[in-house]
Amino acid sequence: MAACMELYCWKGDWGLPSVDSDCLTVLTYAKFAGAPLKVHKITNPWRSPTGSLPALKTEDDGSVSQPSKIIISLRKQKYNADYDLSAKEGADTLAFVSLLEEKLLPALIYALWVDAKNYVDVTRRWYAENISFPLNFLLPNRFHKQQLEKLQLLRGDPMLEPGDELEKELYREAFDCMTLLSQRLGSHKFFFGDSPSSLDAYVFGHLAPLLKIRLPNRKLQHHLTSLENLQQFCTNILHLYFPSEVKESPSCKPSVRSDSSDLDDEPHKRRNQILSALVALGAMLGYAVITGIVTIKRAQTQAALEGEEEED
Amino acid sequence: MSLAAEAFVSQIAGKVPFIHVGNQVVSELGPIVQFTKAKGHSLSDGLDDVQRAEMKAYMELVNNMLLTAELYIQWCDNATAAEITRPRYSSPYSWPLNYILAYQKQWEVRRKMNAIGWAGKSLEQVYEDVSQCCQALSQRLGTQPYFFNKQPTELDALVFGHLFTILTTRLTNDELGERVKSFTNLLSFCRRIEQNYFEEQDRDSQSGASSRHSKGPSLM
Repeated sequence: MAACMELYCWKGDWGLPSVDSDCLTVLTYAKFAGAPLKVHKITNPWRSPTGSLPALKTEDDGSVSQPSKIIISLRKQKYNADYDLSAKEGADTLAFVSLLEEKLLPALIYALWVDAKNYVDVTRRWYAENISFPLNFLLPNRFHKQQLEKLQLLRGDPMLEPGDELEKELYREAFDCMTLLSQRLGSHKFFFGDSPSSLDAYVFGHLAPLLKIRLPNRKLQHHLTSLENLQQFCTNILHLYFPSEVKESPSCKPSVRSDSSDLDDEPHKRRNQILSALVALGAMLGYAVITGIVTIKRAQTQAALEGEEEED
Repeated sequence: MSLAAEAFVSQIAGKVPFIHVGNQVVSELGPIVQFTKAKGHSLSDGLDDVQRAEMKAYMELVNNMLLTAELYIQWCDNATAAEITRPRYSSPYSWPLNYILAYQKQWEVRRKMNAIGWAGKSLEQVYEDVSQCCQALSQRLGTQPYFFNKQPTELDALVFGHLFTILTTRLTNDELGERVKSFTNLLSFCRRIEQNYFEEQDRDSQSGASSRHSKGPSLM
């Protein structure tokens, strides 16, 4: 039971312990169950023991991927946040997790990976900035293709193309799902009374990115913020279980980051532009000198002029 | 067409069942429910918000687990695919179309399993998942006649469709059917619906002159 367990997951940002839904779910569940984990926050999925994130490495069971398998593995080690649930509540958990996966997850994938503006301005930028060279050129596009394919397969339509109609349909189902979750939560602190369970971890994992990541196309987020109890639920969990992330002050962070990143970019940008102009000019002049078009004649005429002046 | 046959065919063809009303055709369970609701017939009007949320969640559970498990067993289990599914799927077509379409469908289904993380599962694990899902449904049903007490709802229809198919379809082995049968309240739930809603229909059609279809499979 005191076996050392290591969890590999994506790095965090925007006040979240991790930017990826599955990683968030697993991290939150581990906090709820009080599992002592050594957390490795990395930005290269190839460094994880299973090749994908999140991944749990235990001494007894080897490495497992996928949130459901990781949670089962933690339960086997006696870290069970669902211990107090009744049989009916356990059944409800299964049902609501299926609801999340079928109705909310496709819209989340769309908002982060398929919607053009969001993908280019936020998602791809974050991954390109945070993954180390040279993978930052390869991996974001790879993930994009994988997520688009996943969305196509989830909807059962291999010819799916991003567009307004698809967006409307996906978001409509996601709005319904969020409203249903809000109705089920009511005014309770957690879904099953006063102590959190795996369903709370799953819901938090899917809603927290929507709440915290600032996206240009914010329809999904607007609906979430209109459901106050869900917003309160997420903020509660962040404050109670991840206080260190909140201390980094997510609301100030993006504006500070964007200012400093602009300042950083600008001199670099100007410097790069000036340097490249100088290099081009130098190359052209060098070519002119080598082929003897301009420079040599000018020197000769100048020398000739000076010679005439001296004679005079 | 009996609901069971429709449910089974819907897994193969993708867009059945459908209803034809006037000059409108509406296909698949979700849109059909919406359509009948717009016409003033709804089974879930008596539910409050929390119950409606639970009903939708359980319907997704059935779609997520039972439907995916059925697809897996039909197409990803080599024995079943070779003996039953591929021949059945390709029977309307002549050579070489029957081979091409059957393998194409199998490839499509396997890709989907890959995307949702079911590709690495063994048949035993899939049976476990089905048991887990049935256990959840059994817990929810308890000793009530229907999932939301006295009146049937869309959830009852969906669960009946899937369980009836599982219990009456011949597969290479009976393990799936046996596992479902081990939940006695689900079994009696299916029998009750069959008796109340389908035997009347069969009696009517048999007494009529037209031969709509031969008497379909039954749990009795």
